[in-house]
Amino acid sequence: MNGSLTFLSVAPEIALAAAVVLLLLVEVTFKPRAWAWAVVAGAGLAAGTALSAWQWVAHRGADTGTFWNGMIAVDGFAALAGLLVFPLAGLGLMSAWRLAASQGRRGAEFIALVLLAAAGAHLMAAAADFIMLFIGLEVFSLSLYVLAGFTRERVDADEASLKYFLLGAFASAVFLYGVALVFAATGSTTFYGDGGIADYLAGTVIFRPGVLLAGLALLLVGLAFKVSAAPFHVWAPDVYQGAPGGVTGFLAAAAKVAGFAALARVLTAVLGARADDWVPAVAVLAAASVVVGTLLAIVQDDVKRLLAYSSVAHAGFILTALVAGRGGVGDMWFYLATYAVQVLGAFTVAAAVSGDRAGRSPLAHWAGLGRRAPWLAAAMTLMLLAMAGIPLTAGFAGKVAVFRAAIDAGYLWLVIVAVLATVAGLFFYLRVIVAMYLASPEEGASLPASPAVGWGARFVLAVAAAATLVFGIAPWPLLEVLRDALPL
Amino acid sequence: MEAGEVMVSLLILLPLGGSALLLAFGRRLGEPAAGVLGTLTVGAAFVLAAVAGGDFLAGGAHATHIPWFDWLAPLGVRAGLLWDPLSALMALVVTGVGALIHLYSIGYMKADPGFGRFFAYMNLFVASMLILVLADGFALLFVGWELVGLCSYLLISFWFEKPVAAAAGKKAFVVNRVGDAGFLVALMLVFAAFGSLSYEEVLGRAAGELSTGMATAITLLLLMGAAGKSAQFPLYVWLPDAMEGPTPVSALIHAATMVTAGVFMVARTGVLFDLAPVSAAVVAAVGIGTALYAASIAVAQYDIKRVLAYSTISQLGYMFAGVGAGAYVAGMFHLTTHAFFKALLFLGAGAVIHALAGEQDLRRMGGLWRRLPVTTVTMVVAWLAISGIPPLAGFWSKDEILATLFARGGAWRAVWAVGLLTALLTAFYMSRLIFLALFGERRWAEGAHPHEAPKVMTVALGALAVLALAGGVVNTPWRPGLEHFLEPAFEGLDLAHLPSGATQWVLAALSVAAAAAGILLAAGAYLRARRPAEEGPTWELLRRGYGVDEAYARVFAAGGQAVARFTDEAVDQKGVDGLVNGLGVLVRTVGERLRPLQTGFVRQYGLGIVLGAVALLAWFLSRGGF
Amino acid sequence: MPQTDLSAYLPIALMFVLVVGFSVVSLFLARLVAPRHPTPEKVEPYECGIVPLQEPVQRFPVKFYLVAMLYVIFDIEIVFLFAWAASFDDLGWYGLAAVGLFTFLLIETLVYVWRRGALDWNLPRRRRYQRAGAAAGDAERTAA
Repeated sequence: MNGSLTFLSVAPEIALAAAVVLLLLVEVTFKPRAWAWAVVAGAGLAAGTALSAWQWVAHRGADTGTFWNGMIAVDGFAALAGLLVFPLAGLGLMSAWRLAASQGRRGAEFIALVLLAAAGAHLMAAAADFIMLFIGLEVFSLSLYVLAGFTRERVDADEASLKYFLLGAFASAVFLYGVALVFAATGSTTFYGDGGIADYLAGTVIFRPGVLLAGLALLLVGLAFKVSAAPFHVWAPDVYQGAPGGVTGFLAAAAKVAGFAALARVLTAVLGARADDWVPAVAVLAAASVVVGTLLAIVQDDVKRLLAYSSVAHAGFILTALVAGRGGVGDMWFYLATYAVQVLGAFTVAAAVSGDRAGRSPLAHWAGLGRRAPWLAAAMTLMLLAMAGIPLTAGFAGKVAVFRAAIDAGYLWLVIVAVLATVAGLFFYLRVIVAMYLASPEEGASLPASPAVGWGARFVLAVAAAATLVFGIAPWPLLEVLRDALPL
Repeated sequence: MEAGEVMVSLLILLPLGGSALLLAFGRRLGEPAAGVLGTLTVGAAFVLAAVAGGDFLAGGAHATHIPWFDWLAPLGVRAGLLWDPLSALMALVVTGVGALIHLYSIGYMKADPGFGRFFAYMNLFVASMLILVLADGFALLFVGWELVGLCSYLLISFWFEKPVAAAAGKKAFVVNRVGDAGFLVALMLVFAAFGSLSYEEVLGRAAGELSTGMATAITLLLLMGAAGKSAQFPLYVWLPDAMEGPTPVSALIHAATMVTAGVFMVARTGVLFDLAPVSAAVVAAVGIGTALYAASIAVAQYDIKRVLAYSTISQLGYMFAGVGAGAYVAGMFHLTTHAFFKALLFLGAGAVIHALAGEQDLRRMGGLWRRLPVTTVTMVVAWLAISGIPPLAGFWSKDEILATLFARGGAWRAVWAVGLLTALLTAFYMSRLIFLALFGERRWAEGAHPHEAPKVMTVALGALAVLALAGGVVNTPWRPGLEHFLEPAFEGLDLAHLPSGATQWVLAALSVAAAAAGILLAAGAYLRARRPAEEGPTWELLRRGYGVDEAYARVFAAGGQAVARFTDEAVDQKGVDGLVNGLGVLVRTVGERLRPLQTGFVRQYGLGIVLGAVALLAWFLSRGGF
Repeated sequence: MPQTDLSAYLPIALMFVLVVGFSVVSLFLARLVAPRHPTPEKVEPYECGIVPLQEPVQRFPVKFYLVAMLYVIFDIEIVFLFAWAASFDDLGWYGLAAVGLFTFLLIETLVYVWRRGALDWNLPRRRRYQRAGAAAGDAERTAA
C-alpha cells in the first residue's frame, strides 16, 4: 500500500481537524476578531473541498480502493460527499454567521463544532467499516447535539438539545447493536475486501439468516433516525423548532446528507446481496415518511415545525430512490444535494424573519412579508415551490429522478403514494406563500424586529436560488455527473 | 460552441437580460435610462442577427442546429435553436423593427408612470418572439408561442386601470386560448406520430412516414393555432380590441411581429402542409376570405387605430393566401414589407394621436399636414406602400402573391380575383384614412394645439419610411434576392412560382390599376368639401363588423358563461370542490388525529422508536428464522 | 464459522447466566436470610458516623463533572500510552509521531479549556475573560 496515498485518503478529515485545532489555539492565544475565525474556517473548508475534488478527479469510476486496513474507502461516492458536505458547511456558517458572531468568545467553538460536524459527515460517507462509520456518526451527532442548544438562553433550546441527545444516543445504541449482530452473522465489521461483509454475503448461502436480518433491521433503525424517516422522525419537529434559528438550516441539511450517505453505502454496496430483504422495508419506510410528514405538516401553524415535517416527507422521497438499489444512488444524490440547499435557504429566511436565536416562527411572523421584505419573501417562495416540486425548479427535477428510479425498480405503488403526497403537500407550502403575500400583519401583533439579513445569509440565499433554478431548468448535466458517484 | 452559435444564443439572452434588469431596477433607472437600455439591448440583438445572418447572404452557408441542453430527454425534447435563413429573416425583422419601435416609445411613453415596466415587457416580448422564431422544435416553439401571448396580454392591458383595456387583454387571452387548444392537440398528434418534437426528426421523416389523413389532421389543428395568433377568421375578434394598448405595442406586437407568428409557423412546417393539399387549400381560403372581409370592415371604421387593426387582419389574410398556395417566399416577403409599412402607419397614427392629445376619431382630425410635416410625409409613404403603388415595398410583395396565385391556375384564379378586389378596397380605406386625418379641412376641437412629435419619435418614423420606400428591392422579379436567400430553408418543397413573360406585366398593371382606382375613388369622395354621409343599413352593418362581435358575445360569451356557471355550481362546487374539500378535510382530520402522538415527551418518543424497530424486526425476521 | 455455529458464544452465554443468577440470588437470599431489627439510627444514611445535616441528594457544582471528565480523558490516554510503550520498539518513529500527535491533541484541548477558564473556580476571573471579547450575548449560566 502506498504510504502517501494512505494519508491522502483521509486528507479532508485531516484538513478539517487541523482547522479546528488551529481555530481553537488561535482563539485562546490571540483572542482575535471574528473575521480571523472566518479565515481559518474558510481555509479548512476550502482545503477539504479541494481535496475532495482531487479525489473525485482521481478516483471516480476507476482506481478506487480502501485504505487503513479497509477502514476508509476512496471512491466517487466519498469524494462527492465531500464536495457536497464541505461547501454546505461553508454555506451553513455564512447563514449562521450573525448568530456565531453574537456569541462573543464562544463563537469560535460554534464554528469549530460546524467544522467537526462536516468532518464527521464526510467520515460517515467514506467509512468502509462499521466501526469507522460509528465513529463518524458520533463525531457528527455530538457536534449537532451541542449546536442545537448552543445559545443556552432559552429553555426550549436546551430542551431541544437534550431531547436530540437522548434520542440520538438511543438510536446510536440501536445502530451499534445492529453492527454487533451483523458481526455475529458475518464475522466481520469491514465492508470490502477478502472476508469483508459484502464478500461474505455474496459468497455464502446463509441457511438461517435470523441474526443477520435482525442486525440489518437495527442498522436501518439507527440510520433512519438520523435522516428522520418515519416512524423514527419524532425528534425532528421539536429540535428544529427549539434550536436557535441561525443553526437550524445547517442542522437539517447536514443530517440528511450524512445520514443518507451512510445509508446508501451500507444498503447498496455492503448489503447489496440482501436487497430482497431490505428493499421492501425501505419502501415501506419511504411511504410512511411521505405520508406522515405530509399529513402532519398540513396541520402545523409554525413555519419551522412545518419545514421539519416537510423534511420527514423529503426523507421519504429520497428513500424512494434507494428502492432502486445501486441504480438509484445518482438520483438520491441529486435530490439530496438540491434539497439540502433548499432547506438551508428556507431556514435562513426563517432565521431572518423570526430571529437568529429564536426558536418559534409562527405563521403570524410571516404575514405580509412580501411587502416588508420582498427579496426575502421571493427567496422563500422559490425555496417552497422547489420543495413542493413545481416544474422548472430543482425540486421538480429531483422528484422526477427519484420517481423514475422507483418505477424502474417496479415500485409503482410507492410512486403513486409519493405523487399523491406531493399534491397534498402543495397545500402547506402554498399556505406560507399566501401568508407572505396575501395576509397582513394582525393589528397590534408583536412582530419581531424588521427582518435583518447579513451578507452571509444573502450569499446563501443567492446561491440557493441560483442552484434551484439552474438545476431546475437544466438538471441533466448534473444528473449525468452524479451517476458516477457510486460506492465501491 | 462556435462564435456564431454564441451570437445566436446571445440574441435571445440580450433582450431577456434587459427585461430582467428592467423589471428589477426599471423604476430606479427612471426616464429615459430605462428606455435607452431597452432600445440598446434590442438594437444590439439586431446587430448580432445581422452579423450572424451575413453568411446566408453570401450563400453556401447551411442551417445550424445549436443545442443548448437536453431538456425533457424522455420526450425527445432538446432545448436548442435553429439558425437558418427563415429564422434569420424573422430575427432581423423582429429586432430591427423592434429596436425602432423601442426608440419611438421613449418619446411616446414619456411621463407615463409605468415607463420602466413598459420597456421591461417590450424587451420580454422581443425575447419571447425570438424564442418562437429560433426554436429548433415544436416544444420550444410552443414555449415562445405562449410567452408572446403572455406579453401581448400584459401589454394590451398595460393601462390596466382602464376597464376597457383590462377587458381587451382578457379577450385576447381567451380567444388565443381557443386557437392554442388546437395547436396543443396538433403537437400531441405530432408526438404520437413521430415520438419526437424536434423539427429535424419530424420534418425530416414526415415525407416518408406520414399518411395524408394524419397530415391533414395535424395541419388543420396547426392552422387553428395560427388563426388564433394571427387573427384570422373566425378568431380575429380580439385584434381590434387589442388597440386599447399603447400605440407602440399595437405597432410591434399587433401589426409587425407577433401576429405574423402564424404565417411563420405555416412556412416553417411547410413540409406538413405539402403533404396535405386540403389543408393548404383551407389555409388559402381562410386567408383570402379574411382579407376581403376585414378590408370591407376597415372601410367603415372611425377610430384610426381600428382601421389599422382591420387592415392588419386583412394583410395577414394575404400572407396566409400566399403560404397556402405554396408561395412561401412571397408570403414571407409580404410579412417583411408589411412589418415595415404597418409599423410605420401605427407609429404615424400614434404621432397624430399624440399631437391631438389622445384623439382617435377620424371625424375630429383633418388638415394636420401643415402642423405635422414629418409625420405626414412618412404616413404618405406608408399609405402608398400598403396601397401597392410601385416602386414602394408593398407593391412588390403584394403583387408577387397575387401573381403566384394567378399562375397556379384553376380555382386559384378565383382566389386571385378576390385578392385583386381586396387590393382595391385596401387602397380605398387607406386613402380614406389619410385624407380624413391629414388633409381636408380641420375638424379638431378648438383649443387643441397639434405639434410635431419629438426627435426620438420622428427618427424612428424616418427610418421606417426609408424601409417602406425601398424595402421592395430585396425581391424584385429581376433580382429575386430574398428567394435565393430563403431557398435553403424551403428545400425540397413544392414552391409556387411567378408566371413568366407578358402575363407578369399584365398582372402587375392590373394590380396597379386596382390600387389607383381605390385611391381615386377615395379622393373623389373625401377630398371634396362635402364628405359622403356615411350612413344607411349597409354602412351600419360594416361599421359594426357584420355584428360578429355581438354575435360572439351572445353565443359564445354568454353561452360560455352559462356553461361556466353550471360547471362552477354543479360540477365544481358540488362535485370537484366537494371531492377536493372532502379530501382536504379528511387529510386534515387524519393529521389532527396523528398530532397527539407528538407529545414532546422523550420517553414516548423513545417508545415510538422502539415500536418502529420492533415492526422492522418483525418484517426482517419473517424473511428467515434462526 | 458464524451463524450456524453459535457454540463460540457459549462462554458468553454462561457468563451472562452466571451474572444474572448471582445478582438475583444474592439480593433475594440476603432478604430471606438476614435478620432485621430496624432502629431509627439504623435507617439513617451512613455518613462516617456523623449525624447527617441535610438531605443527601443535592445538586453540586457542575465544575466537579468537568474535572472528573478531564481526569477520565487523561486516564484513558494513559491506557493508550501504555499499549504504545509496551511495543515501542516495533512501532518505531511512526508510532512515536502518532502518539505525539495524539498527546498534542489532548494537551491542546486542555490548554483551550484552561484558557477559557474552565478550571478557574474563581468566578470573577472567568468573567474578565469573557468581557475581553466582544461578548454580546454570552449568557453563560453557571451553577455558582
